[in-house]
Amino acid sequence: MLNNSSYDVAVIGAGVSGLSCALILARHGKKVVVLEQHPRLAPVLRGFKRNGMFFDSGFHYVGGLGDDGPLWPLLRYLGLDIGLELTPFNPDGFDCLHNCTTGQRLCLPVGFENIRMQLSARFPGAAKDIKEYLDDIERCWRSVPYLDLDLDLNEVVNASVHGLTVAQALARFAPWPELQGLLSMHGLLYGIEPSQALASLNAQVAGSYYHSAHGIRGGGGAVVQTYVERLAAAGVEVRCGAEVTQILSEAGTVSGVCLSDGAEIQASEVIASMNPALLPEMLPAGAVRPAYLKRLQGLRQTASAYVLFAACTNPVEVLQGCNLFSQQGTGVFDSCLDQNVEERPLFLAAATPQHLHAGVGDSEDGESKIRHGVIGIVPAAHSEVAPFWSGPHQRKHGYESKKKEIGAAICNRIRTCCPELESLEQVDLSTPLTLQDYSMAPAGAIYGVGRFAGQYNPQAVTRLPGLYLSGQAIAAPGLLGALVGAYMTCGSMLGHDLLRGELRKWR
Amino acid sequence: MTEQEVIELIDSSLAEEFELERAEMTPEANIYEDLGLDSLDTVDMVIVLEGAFKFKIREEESVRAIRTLGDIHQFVLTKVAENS
Repeated sequence: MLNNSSYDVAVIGAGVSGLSCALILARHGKKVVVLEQHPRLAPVLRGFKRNGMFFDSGFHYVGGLGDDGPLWPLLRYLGLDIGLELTPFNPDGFDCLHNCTTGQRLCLPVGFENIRMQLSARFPGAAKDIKEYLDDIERCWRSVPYLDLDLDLNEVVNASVHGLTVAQALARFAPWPELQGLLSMHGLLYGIEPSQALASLNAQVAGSYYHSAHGIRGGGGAVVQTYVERLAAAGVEVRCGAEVTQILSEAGTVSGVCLSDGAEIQASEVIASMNPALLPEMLPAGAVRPAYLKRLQGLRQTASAYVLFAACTNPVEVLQGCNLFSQQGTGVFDSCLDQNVEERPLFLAAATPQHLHAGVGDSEDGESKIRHGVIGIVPAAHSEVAPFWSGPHQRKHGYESKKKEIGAAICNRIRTCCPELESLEQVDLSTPLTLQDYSMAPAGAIYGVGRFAGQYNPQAVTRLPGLYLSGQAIAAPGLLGALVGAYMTCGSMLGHDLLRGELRKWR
Repeated sequence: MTEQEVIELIDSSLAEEFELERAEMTPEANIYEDLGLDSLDTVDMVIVLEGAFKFKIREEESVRAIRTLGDIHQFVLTKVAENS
């Protein structure tokens, strides 16, 4: 089959980065097509419905959107702020460390100054170090391209990947293990062990939430709807069920892509927004040097996870405007992958942040009752369920009962640790195999390629002229990281000075 | 490792990873003008050297100052000496 369509830019992958790239480039007059292998766009972000309840699968809350929040210009520039209703998390405690053994909770209030005051009061012996530690994060969390629109980009490009790790940065708080737990728990939001995560990455992720924490009414589903509207208005074509198998080149420059059905799409530039580990097999032979290929193939991926989707018959006040980061002991948050799921750390959130979505489900006696959704995320290794893989969206016999078993173990752990959630019942469970199917990340890496200490993650510009990378791998995880990634990619194509100059008007 | 072994490891690693002709890899060769690398390759070069010698390269200024293959030899020899 020959498809003669021709575009300025073809974007591979309709996640937040890919869709944002499409919107930015369309704004600059480019004819753009987005190619998504999944039947629907933004398959991870969009969430899903079960038993009348909406569950988010890719979005839980967002930082950097309070007063003076650096994410605003990135949203406003694309009109993504219109129609999105933010729901502020609890200002007195938006994220709480929960000690499963003692039941004690230690919460972070919103805002650097509030955190400094509360923690200093609680840990007076550590007050000086707390101030220093938080001052550092407050100074550097937004010092990345496009969050700081005045930053000298040369400084960023040459930043060392051999910096201080989170574990090293928190060593000074050894006498206060509870504090170490509290300050390292956001590692669950980037999927790297504290001993291997750069303190600068933790600062970017945790710092954005220290600054401000919001839910979005309707969650990821509402974000996807906003993208769909903006893409239509911008005249961007999105093709779902379009699996790119090859990136084509002519005379050493990108010329388009080839789909699994044999169709060829001509494009002068291609953006690969999927996991960069998938890129090597799409590249024309000899297009890039072995050193670059090896580097892509050797990129370390973040851990995977089990995500429990559950329901309570009683309102879950403990999760109203607040997430729980639960651990069995105290000290720096480790993923404990060598232990049973009951022993591992756990991230608990209401199914739609802040505003609890009350769905109507059918109870066993046929009467309907209100149920409240809860999401629990536990780190997992792909190998734990790998034997059940028999192809995309296909599982071997025994997978369903394995899922029930793991889900039951996680439910038990939640009910034991949080008696408020005693009515919790499993609705569904996603495993590393599910994540692999929806995100296409090798081994179901929950945040894709990680920014590990010592690892040189790829940049937007590649050695093949006309080919650019985007996605969380070139920036950071989350909605914020994916958006920054999109701007970094488009800045490389359009000129950073031009794009940043335009964004400054939207501050 | 002798100086000669260090230089041989540098040259053979770079030749393989960047598909360079050994005959062109003289110490005087400018890595950008003569060997055809560009600024994008610099990071890959750092990764290749870190992998070959198991050290961490934090000297961003020194890396940016590298122009010739001989500069790379000198840079690595200095680091190897520091680490031994």
